[in-house]
Amino acid sequence: MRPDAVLIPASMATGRNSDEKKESIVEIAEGWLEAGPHELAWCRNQINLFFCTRDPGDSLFFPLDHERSGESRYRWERREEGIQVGWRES
Amino acid sequence: MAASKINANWSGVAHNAVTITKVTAVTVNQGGAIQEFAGDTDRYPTVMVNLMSKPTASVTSADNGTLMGISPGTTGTFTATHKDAQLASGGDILYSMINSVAENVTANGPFGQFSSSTLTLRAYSSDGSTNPLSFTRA
Repeated sequence: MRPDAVLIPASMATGRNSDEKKESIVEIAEGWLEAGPHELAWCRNQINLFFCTRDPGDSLFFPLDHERSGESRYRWERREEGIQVGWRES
Repeated sequence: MAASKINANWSGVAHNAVTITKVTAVTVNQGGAIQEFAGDTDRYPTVMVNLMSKPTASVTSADNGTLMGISPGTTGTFTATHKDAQLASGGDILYSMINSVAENVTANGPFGQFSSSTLTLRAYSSDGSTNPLSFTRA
């Protein structure tokens, strides 16, 4: 099953300006999320890393008004270069 | 054509189901702020951290009626696409700011010039940790 989310260290962003760095992160995310031809990898700058998913409405944790508030929405596994991939908790 | 890595002009600007056209400017702000610490005999700050960020966005449009129709406090998703300068495939940058709350709309109409309105937005996080501002490319 393909991952639902990926955490990418900010150090992996490359480029001469912020737009190029954004593009480099999205390109990495598209690979890990196995985004299809009509899917996009939405990335959020979390300061030291980027949190990327296929839906811009996703969040790292359950919402504050949810009964599972404070709990991670994903089960994370480490990969190379500090990348983590996550699968949505049911 | 390969992406030019330069962006110019905007399309697909919307807040909720309200499509905004005649767009002349969009700003997207990560809303970062730095807290400094200094103590004892320090002459310069010794610690600088980002404890909280408050993402914001704004859009300026000549469509005053549409913008003025957005009431302060209206919440929704703000989207905007920054077009590749050479309209190359894969060069557009798309922004999405969820939980965007309309803060204010200001209309401006100098004599002898086209008028415009500016909508300002602030966003909150649903879990307190996830940045409501995201981006992608297309």
